Amino acid sequence: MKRLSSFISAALSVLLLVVSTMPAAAATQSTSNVANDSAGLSIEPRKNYVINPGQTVSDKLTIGNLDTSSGLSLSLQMIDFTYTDQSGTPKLFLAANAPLTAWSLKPYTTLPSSLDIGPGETKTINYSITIPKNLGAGSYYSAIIYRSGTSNEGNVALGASGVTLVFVSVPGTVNENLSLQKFGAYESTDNGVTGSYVYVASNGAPQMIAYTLKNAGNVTEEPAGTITLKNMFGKTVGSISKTNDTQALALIGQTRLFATCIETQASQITKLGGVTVDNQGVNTCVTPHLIPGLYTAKLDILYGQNGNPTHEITSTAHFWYLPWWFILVLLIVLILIGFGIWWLQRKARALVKGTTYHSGSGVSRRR
Amino acid sequence: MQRLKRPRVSLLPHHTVVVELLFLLLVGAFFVLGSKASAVIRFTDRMLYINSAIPGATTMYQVSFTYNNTGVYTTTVGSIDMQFCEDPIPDDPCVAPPGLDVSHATLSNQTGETGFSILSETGNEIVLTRSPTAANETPSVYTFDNIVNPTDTTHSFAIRLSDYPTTDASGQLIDLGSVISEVTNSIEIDTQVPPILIFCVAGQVNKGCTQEYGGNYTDLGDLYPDVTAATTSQMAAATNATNGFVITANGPTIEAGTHVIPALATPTVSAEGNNQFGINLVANDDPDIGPLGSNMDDSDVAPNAVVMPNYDTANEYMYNDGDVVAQASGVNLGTIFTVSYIVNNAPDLHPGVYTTTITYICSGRF
Repeated sequence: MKRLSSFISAALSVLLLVVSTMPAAAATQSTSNVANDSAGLSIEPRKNYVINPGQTVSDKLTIGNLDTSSGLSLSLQMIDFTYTDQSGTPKLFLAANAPLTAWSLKPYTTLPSSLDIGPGETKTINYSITIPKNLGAGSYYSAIIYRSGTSNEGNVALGASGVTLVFVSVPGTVNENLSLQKFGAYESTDNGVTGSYVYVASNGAPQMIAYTLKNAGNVTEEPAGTITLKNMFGKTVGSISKTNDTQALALIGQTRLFATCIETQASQITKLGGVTVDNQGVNTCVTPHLIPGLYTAKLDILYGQNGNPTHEITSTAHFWYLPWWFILVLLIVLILIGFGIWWLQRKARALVKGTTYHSGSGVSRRR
Repeated sequence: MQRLKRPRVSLLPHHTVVVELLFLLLVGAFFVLGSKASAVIRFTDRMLYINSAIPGATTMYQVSFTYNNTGVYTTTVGSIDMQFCEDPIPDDPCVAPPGLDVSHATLSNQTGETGFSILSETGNEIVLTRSPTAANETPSVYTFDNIVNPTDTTHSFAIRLSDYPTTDASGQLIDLGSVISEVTNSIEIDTQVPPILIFCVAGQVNKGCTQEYGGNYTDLGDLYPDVTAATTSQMAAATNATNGFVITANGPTIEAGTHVIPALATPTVSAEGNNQFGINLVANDDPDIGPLGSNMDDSDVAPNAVVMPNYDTANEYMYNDGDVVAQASGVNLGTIFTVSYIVNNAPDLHPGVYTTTITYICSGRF
């Protein structure tokens, strides 16, 4: 008995030693690399509706499984969202216990909770939104999230989810309040995804002009208008007729940046007498052909919901385009001018050197 | 006569002149900078109501405004010009909204300043006329029936308004202003191709997401304190939506039960022997286990995808649940992003099976 006890103790010690020296490990060692479930989907990114109080709108969602060898299992859920920053990036409220937003569509939406799609197939599902009779006019929005299944294999299981943003406008008298926060030249190398306002552009001509609006109303706003760019001689060097050609929205409470190209690939092709195909390059900024100097930009934008007053915002902003090479040339010219003035004054001084001033008879050369 | 000595005038040295000129230039430059906002008042209280906002529908339009007599050269109004254009600004060329037709519009009602009838109509212009009469600053509403809505839901459209003392909208205008609106689908129109967003995640993918290899997981193998465990996965996204797409990474850091390897909160280099979990979306050569990951493979046409700055530095990794890791600012025909994962562990890391589930969420931008 004593020997058995010693044996078990020894065995446990050895087992403990083995476990303690074992490295941390993967969840399950994979035996094959064959895709076990699809994580590729196609969806509609945005839906817009106008729904009167008391009305129900039924619509369809089309979802595709892009994987031709595996099935796609999706769970569907309505979630709320707001803005992340000054851009159009939605901040999704993914937590199960996230509180309803004031603009939520969750209580008014009927949506299937799951969907299975065969390899390479596309399915259409019905869903509906019912706006209660007593719901006030304004904008309401939420998002439909499609979550694909994840794997139990490997250390890092990967999931792919897609999101459809759903916007509903309930007609009626709404509170619209956009205020201009900033307007001017905007330096960005990635079509406005990142960048900043610039007053003196020295690293090259600014590719974009932007304006920032704060939305203090109870509706999403989609302003439209024009920006005109003139050089210091008053000549129009750029005209942006669609200052919001991507239909960008300022969400409720958001301070939204609207950045637009001074020149696009497409506009340059048009200038050269060419034709762009399928709007290619319409939104791709290129460096505008500006000469160094002072520029004046004029903004004129309008906004207003159907049946509500149209509001207009105008503004003027200035910016300098002073590239480094130009500053260098300017400095050299200024130095030369300064030197010239100094030389002329020196000459003048030499000229009057030795002269005296006779009251009433001016300067005369000393004898 | 008193003989005066010439007053000594100290000449400015040339460098002082240069500094002074530069100073004046800079002061002048900054003096004119900045912007100011002000509202332009033209016709006041402008408003447009469209009875049905469905694209292509034949419906009723109600145009409201108040005549503005402050500072005008005459208050006599004999005609009103209403131009329907994509863009509201009077000086710009007027492009008619596709699908719109006002050539059969009828003036069914008018209040405020009245007595108008339709003088002429084209596809996108209506001219109202009356005997020239002084206009009061009273709210006026003009209702038109039989207007066919534009069919393009991707842009708003405007009515450019102007009034004239003449009866045919000729000569110098008195007031001007625009009203805007847009048409929106309240139900699906089957003939219209909707925007599509495609997205996939796997070990390896192609731009169209038609081929996925390696499954929807990735394996870091065993963890040792003196070796960085690393692996990669790929994702592809594409959209024909004009606002582009955005991808976020969601999920906890790698963990085994209650034992957690903390995620790097800021971009940090890999350091063996420390508990670290992080990702990035660029090509790396550190950890020194051969090339890790690769740079974004953007759309060939109009490339506009970007990796967000925190995940765009080679050999620096981080991970925050919910972070935006990549996005595209407009239509993008397919971009592949390669995600690199690294895990380092301290020698005293509790043994166990460390796992996580990272869900990449791709959504459109608004």
